[in-house]
Amino acid sequence: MKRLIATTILVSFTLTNSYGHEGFKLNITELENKLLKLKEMHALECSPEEVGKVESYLESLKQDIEREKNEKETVYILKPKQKTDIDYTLTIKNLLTKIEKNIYSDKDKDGIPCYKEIELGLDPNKPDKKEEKIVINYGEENKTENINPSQTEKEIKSSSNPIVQPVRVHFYTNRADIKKEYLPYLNIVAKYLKTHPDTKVKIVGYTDNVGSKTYNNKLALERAKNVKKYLTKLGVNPDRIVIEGIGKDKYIVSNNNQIDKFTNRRAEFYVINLAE
Amino acid sequence: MIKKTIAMFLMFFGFSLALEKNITTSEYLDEAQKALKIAYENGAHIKAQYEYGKALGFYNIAKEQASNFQTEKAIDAATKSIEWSLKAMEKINKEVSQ
Repeated sequence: MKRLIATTILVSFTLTNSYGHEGFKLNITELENKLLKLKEMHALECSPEEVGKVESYLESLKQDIEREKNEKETVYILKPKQKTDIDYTLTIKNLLTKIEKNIYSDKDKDGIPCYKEIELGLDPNKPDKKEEKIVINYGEENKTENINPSQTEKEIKSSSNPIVQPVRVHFYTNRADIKKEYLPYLNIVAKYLKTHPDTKVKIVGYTDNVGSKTYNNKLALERAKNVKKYLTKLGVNPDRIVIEGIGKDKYIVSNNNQIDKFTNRRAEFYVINLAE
Repeated sequence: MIKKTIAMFLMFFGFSLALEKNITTSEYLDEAQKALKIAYENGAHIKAQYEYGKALGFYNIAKEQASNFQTEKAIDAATKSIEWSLKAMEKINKEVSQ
């Protein structure tokens, strides 16, 4: 009995010591990976100050671990983690969420999130009026395609492409209401539809991979419905808007993390010829 | 009498040592703060945001470590903060000269 108690105490002591140290290490790699992913989403351009702060905290944490390692190697004693060490993981996590917010924020209030502006080669700090032009230009291209009698199948297919990349509305998890930051997009679409009465638009709602297929289909349709509702509120004839909901399918990116899931929860616009 | 003198001497020695260490750390912190202030006044928070963020992060670490009596770590972090403030200034000056 005594032996059993002694061995359990010994095992639990060694386990807690090793777990504490490894857990600390794991956290850092996890945080580093998250920062890397955010950097891929243009975190350096959208939130450079916060990225700098996170990097400085990570550097100091790494240094602490190296110091501990060196001490262990030279002294050969398994030291428990010092009580005086400051764990910055919470601060880093807070900064990472701030970076994530900044990536999706719209500083210049032109309706395009920061990361998208960087991808398009625009300045995230200056409002861009180009978006409206792009939409109109695309529509004009479609128009010329309609007039041309020698229209091939390929050309017809191209006319049902999304209007432009940035005209995409994203949603919160399990919700179908439109975020305020996307209203300027929809205003542009409404304006375009009003000035081009010979075009129809198809709104397709999508979801991420959370939940059942039937529920997601409903949710996707609800999202498309809400966008249609907003456009009709702005004076667009509801007969010119076709809606569709595709749940748990046609993802833009894999659903590995929250950012990817957010990207997949969307509603897209497709221009349709009236002849179609 | 001898005991008292030894105790006084030890106390004075310990106090002066602690004082000397504290002054070094706080001096480093002061310098880091000054460098940050100069960088900010030159517009580093707008023109060299990444470098300024790093300097600010290291300065915060230095402050936290100093308040936790980790003088070595505090000095390390303060030095890095000064370095990054200088890098921010360098970036601003490059932009101005261009």
